[in-house]
Amino acid sequence: MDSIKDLTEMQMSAIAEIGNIGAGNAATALSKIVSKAVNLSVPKVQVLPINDAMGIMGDPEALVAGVYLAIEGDIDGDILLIFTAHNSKNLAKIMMGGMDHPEVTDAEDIFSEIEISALKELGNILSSSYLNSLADFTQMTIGPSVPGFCCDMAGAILSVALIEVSAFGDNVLILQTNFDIEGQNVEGFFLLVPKPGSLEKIFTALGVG
Amino acid sequence: MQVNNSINVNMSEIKISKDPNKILVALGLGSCIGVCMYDPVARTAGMAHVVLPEKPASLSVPDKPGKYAGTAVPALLKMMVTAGARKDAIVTKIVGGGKMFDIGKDSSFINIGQRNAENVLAALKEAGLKILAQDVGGNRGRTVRLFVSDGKVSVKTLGEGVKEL
Repeated sequence: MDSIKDLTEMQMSAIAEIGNIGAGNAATALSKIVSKAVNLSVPKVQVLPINDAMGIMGDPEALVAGVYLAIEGDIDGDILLIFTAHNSKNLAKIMMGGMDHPEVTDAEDIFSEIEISALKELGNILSSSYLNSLADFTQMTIGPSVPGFCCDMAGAILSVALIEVSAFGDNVLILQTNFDIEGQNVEGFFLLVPKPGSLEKIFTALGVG
Repeated sequence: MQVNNSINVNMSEIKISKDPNKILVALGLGSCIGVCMYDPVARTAGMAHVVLPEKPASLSVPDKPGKYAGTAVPALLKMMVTAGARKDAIVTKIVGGGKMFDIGKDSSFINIGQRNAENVLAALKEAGLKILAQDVGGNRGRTVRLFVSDGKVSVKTLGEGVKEL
């Protein structure tokens, strides 16, 4: 069975629309925190072979930083927020109000506790915005887990969101949003990967099952 | 221009090579495992990129053997033997099985790397194969390379660079 490949256009647009509203909520929440205009692109909904999805960040050995959250409640899935290590350092600084902190160094592969918690908080805000939008539409109870942080090879981090799905087929549905913060040139990927069984629940709740 | 001698072994794939100029490589392993087999006499190398410890009970359809620990090991061994390797001569090394994220609880999913390593080791033992070395667990991503010419295995992490296993 590889049901993900057989999604109808209507099902794909339903996911995109929920993502769109989630992105709007997330941008509003984030711009309040950083006091800057935040722009989140209209989410791209893609069905990709899992091995292609491993390459969406480019070189699988590239140094990236990621925040992972599990989707909990009536549906299951994975959320990954991924930035280049350089952008992550910038972003943590923006989240911290642009202030210097004695623990923070310039080294791109070393994140201090305070930077990690700033980035985890960012993951929390973005995930909650998306999941609230999804919960509103589906009348389901959905929320993110406690966030985890990791700075390492892109392939190793991306695979976290792809391995469980791989048991159900060779394709994965990915909701991908790029975002940037005014004048800061920060770009990131927000990936939301629902489990196949959960997708069916979402579609049934939306009346496009 | 440098010639690309690498043969990428992607998730769930099994690749064999007898070409001494080639290198089998699995890039950016997280919780996945790169299972390396080598017959130094026949100079035959094989690698499986294992993704999951076992097939979910709910799935009855056939699947790629390289995806699961329990099916990848016998499938890789069979392909090695078909390519001319002798089972008695084959040595194995395994790399990966890390835990990239800690979300403060002990779900079966978050420990998938550990279960991958356990099941791969059990499958190798069951097949009666020698385990020469392993670099598993921890919380780093790894790239594993298996050199067909001499069976050398190298592991790259972003923290420690490249080391021979």
